[in-house]
Amino acid sequence: MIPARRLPDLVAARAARALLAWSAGRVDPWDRVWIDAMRGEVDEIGGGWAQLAWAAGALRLVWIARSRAARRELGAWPEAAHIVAGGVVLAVMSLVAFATNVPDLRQTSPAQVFGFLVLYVVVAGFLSGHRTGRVVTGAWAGVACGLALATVVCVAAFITAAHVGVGEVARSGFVGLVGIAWGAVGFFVVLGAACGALGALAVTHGRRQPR
Amino acid sequence: MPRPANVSPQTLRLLDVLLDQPEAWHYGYDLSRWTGLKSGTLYPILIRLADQGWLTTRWAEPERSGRPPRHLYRLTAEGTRQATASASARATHAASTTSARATPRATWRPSTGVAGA
Repeated sequence: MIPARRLPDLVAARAARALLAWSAGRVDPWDRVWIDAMRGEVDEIGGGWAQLAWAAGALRLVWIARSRAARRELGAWPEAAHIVAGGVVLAVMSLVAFATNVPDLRQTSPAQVFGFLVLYVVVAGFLSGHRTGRVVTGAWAGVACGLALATVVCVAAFITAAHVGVGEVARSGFVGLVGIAWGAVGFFVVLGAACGALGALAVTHGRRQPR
Repeated sequence: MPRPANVSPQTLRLLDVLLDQPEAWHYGYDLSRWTGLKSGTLYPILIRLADQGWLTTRWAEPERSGRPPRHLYRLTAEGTRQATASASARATHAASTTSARATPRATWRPSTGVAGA
């Protein structure tokens, strides 16, 4: 039977071990060594509260390890940022094309336009994957490009609505127009993620093939 | 201008402790007690020193069954050289600037340094 006086101390000791185990699961194997090192010391510390204070230091290690991992991840972004910048340029060009009708999109078949867009995000994902060797980065590049294209579609839709007239839009349903815009965003994000990941997967899978 | 490496007071305190017995292996908890550094401060410094090649590490078998292995730390030859140079530079600087004032030095007593293990 544990004396009630010792119970908080035992709970703190148990919490210390739980915190260290939790922390070890939050970092990659390289950093886990250091949390294991802290776990090795915890039994040498007298008192549950002191053990908990010791274990709290693992949170800082987790924070540092995750920050470092995030910086590594961000380090891959400048490569993909070129692709994203390309997506923005394409979006601006598309907007100009919508506004000026050069080329005349009404004479271009929807299948041709769709094929071009899909090809673009696949190429964006392929280039990102090629630069970074990561499928996730390719997918993010695809999402960014998809969002850029969705923005064009939405802006074009609202420009059209403005031409028709605010009163007419109100009669035909502004809420419906916003719904279409959100639908376009969702569609292009999913399309961008899928095609970008596909493009990146193609290049990373190709690298894994034995020569 | 890049910041010089390993000049924070906490790092210098740790290097002083390690330099006192450069051949001995030290446990993390002992280093924490001797330096007065909390684990959340001590371990990032240990990681950085190990990454820079100033510190070498090894695992020790647990002294009692059922306990996890313990991690041990010792200065490398490079770490000893750099820490000695840093300590000498600080001593010279302190002597030239505070020769008139007596600065109390933190004392510590290693109890379980694993010499030459």
